[in-house]
Amino acid sequence: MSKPSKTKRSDSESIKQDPKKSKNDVSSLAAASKVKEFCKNFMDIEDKEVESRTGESDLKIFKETCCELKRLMTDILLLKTSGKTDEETSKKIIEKRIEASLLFVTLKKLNRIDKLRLKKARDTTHDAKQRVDTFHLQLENLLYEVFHLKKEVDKCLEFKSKDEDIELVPVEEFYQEAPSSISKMELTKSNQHKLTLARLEWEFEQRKRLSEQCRSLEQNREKASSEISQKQKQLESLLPRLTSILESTRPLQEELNLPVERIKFQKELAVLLPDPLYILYSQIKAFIEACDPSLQISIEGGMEDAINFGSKNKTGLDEILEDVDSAESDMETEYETNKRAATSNKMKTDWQLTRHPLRIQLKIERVVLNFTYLTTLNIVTVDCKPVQQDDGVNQICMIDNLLSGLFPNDHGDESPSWVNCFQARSMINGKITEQGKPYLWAQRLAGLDFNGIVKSTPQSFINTEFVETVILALKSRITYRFQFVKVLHLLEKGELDLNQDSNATFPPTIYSRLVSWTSSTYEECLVTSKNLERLLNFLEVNPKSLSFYKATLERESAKLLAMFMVPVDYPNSTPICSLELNWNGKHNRENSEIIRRIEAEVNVPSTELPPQHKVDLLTVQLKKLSLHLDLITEIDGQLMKKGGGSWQSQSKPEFAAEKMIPQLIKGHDRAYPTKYDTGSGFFLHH
Amino acid sequence: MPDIKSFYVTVLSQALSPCEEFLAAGTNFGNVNIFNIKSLYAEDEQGPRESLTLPQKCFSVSTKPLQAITSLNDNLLVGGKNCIEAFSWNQLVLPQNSDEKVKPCWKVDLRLPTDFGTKETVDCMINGENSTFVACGDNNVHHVDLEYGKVKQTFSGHTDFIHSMSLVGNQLSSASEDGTVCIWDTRKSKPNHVITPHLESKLNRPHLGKWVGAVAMNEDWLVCGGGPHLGLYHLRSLTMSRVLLEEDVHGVNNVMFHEDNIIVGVDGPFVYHCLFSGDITVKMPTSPLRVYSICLQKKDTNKLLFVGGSGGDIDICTSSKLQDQVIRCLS
Repeated sequence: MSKPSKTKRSDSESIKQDPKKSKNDVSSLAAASKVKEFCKNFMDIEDKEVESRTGESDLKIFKETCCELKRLMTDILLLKTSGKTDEETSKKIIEKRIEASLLFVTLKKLNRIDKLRLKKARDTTHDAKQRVDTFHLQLENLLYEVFHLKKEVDKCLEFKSKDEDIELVPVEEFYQEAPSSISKMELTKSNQHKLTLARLEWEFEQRKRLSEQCRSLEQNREKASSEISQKQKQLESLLPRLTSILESTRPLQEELNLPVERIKFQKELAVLLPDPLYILYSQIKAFIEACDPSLQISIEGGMEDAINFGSKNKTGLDEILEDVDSAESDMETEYETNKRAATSNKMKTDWQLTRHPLRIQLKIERVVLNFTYLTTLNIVTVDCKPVQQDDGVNQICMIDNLLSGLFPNDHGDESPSWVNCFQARSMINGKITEQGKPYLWAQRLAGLDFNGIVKSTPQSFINTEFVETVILALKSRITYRFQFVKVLHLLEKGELDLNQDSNATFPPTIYSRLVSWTSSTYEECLVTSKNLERLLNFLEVNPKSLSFYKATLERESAKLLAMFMVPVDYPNSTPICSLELNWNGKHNRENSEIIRRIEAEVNVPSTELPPQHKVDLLTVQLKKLSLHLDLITEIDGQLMKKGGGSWQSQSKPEFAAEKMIPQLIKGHDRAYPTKYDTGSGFFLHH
Repeated sequence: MPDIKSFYVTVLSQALSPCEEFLAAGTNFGNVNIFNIKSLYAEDEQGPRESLTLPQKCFSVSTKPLQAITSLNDNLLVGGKNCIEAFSWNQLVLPQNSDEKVKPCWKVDLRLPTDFGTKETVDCMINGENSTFVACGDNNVHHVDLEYGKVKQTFSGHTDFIHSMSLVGNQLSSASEDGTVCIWDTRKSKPNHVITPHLESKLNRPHLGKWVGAVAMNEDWLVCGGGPHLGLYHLRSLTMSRVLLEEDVHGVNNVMFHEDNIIVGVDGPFVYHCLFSGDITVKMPTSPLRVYSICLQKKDTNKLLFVGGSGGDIDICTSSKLQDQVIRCLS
């Protein structure tokens, strides 16, 4: 490539030289082109000349020419120096000169050729150099490539495949487990690489499977954990809500005496109980756990109070009062404050009734018993109240006298201790309802033994049988009382419904009806009926262990008024009634043997009712009364006809004889029949 | 607390032991209560008197009221259900032994008809010579020979049960619920005479009924009453000569002659002592609400009168005719 350009340049040089020549040889355009052509030819020739000749030969020519010239010059010089100014010499000189000038042409030619040659050599060199450069470059490239490849090779050689780190299953196992599509036994047996590949593939399959499994498990786990966290969150959110609910239900709990939150406090509170209450608590608690989980026992009262109380308990009365005052200011809730204030007032006025702030609450079925310890008097009092419920049951009936006479002559009216019977008198006068009553059984449960005259301290002696006796007595008392309240409810409606067995002992139709059944009081009953007092005096019963009721039975104009005294342990004891018949005059036990007989018939326990219907005893009694009212009104009419004496003064008896009575009157006491013979339907005498 | 039953006890019959130191009282509950009267009146008796007012023994004879008990020889005869049971006083006077059940030493079956039990009862019983006259639920009086245990004779004529009987010699009178008093010769089974007090207008009290609750006889006189007023009849003429206790409003349950007096127990809390003239010498209030049974000591100088009735209390009255002590039957 560079070669032609060189040639051009040489051409242009030659062209440059040409205008000089053409200037020198001013000629026409045609001549110029001729010259140009000529020059070209000439240059071509010269080029050929240069090629055909060598430098050395030219150098020899040049030296010869120079020598020639030198000789010529020297000849000229010699000629000139010879002083010969002759024509010959001058001619010689001129000749010599021409000769020398001709030599110059040769020199010039040589010069030109030389120059051409130089140029040519230079070009050649350049070309060569150029070629060399290219080669060099090529070489360099190749070298680099080689180096790079070497590096790559090194890299490749140094490459660590990851499969080396992978722990593959042993070959034997692989062959055993992998499917033949992967293992390709024939192929891989010989080829280690293929074997590895196959093993890797198997590994890959395995891992893919496992990872799938892992992923699903992970997903499950994820799900579970999210669920857990969600639930956790819910639970966490539940706690404050629950606490708030608990907080808000606390008054309700207190109201209902639910032991939801209290159980954990019980043990701590138990430590703070005074000894008698602790004995009582532990005994009953043990009994409940061992024998009867239907009962509930708990300790009521503030822990702080108990601690405060306990610390000052042994000091004097004044300190107790101070303590109360100070404790009052500490109170947190309004309710507590009120309660406490009331207590403190009571304490101030009646310090004998100082009671321990803790009390024991025993829940038996629907009744709550509170055991309180009066520290000054050293006695335990019990009071009871019904668990609130709205089923129309008369709550007062339920708890009235409930605990009275649980054991014979134990009405809780007197202090069980000889020592403080004078102190306790104030308690008996009025305060008793607020404080509960000091029943003897409660003292005994609390380990307080007042049999001796000396005030005794709580004894560790525990009579387990006694706990059972008390609890059973309480339970049966409460159960029966509840049934009794139901019976009362029915009686208030005037219903005398009985179970079949009991009903069978009565004739199918009884005309007399229970028209009213009302609760009454001892005082009211005394006013109404004097006979009652005689009966009570005879029986030597404490009116406090009785409930009083007024029943009215009617058959047309005949009115039978019955004062019923229901004992506290009904139906284990029979209710007692006192009768008054208002029918053609007033008839009662005092003035009529007939009425007395009916009273006896009703009051004297006869046949035992089966245990499940025991509570119907009162209804049976009332039914008996209604039957007897029927009987006496009818018999009286029959006697009137017979001339046997009658209360009725009119000519015709008020009631027709419907009942089958073989003999109206029997015996010296002229008794009426009282027995109904279910088989024959006859009314017979005893 | 005393048994409520003892409040409703009615003493229907009484009998004294032959020694008159013990009293047996039959009650409406079919029990016999034995009281020790001697120790109650012993001056130097030590120990709680309280227990002496209670029976030393109480035992059940029947489920029916004991309307009739008498004492004959050494036995206490009790009218039971269709039978007469005899208990030995020697056994009865012994102190109560809880283990030992009191058993009759012999028994006479009366062979009365059975009719819902109404006719099997012994309503009244008085003693004869080694025999007893038993008024039963069949409205007849049976003369029972106790030696042979057989009914010797039956007296029929009443149409209702008999309240009371009286025997003087061979003459037997019986007062019945049917309003009549029959006078029998003990050798005849039909009544000699029949008195109907309620037909006497002076005696009749229709509101109380016609029943005759009590009769008593002596040689010359018969006194009877019940629903009608107490009437004094002259036996020979069988005329009503006097109305006794005219002002008393109660029926008459018991009557007996005692010396110059007639002792009357009424259907109210009183015992009257009255003369044949009708003058009331004593009107004694009693603890029993109604008097059903009176019993008199005959040998003892004290001549104690025992008044039983409605209510378990038995009043013991001394010769001064006033209530002295009260003993109480239990059941």
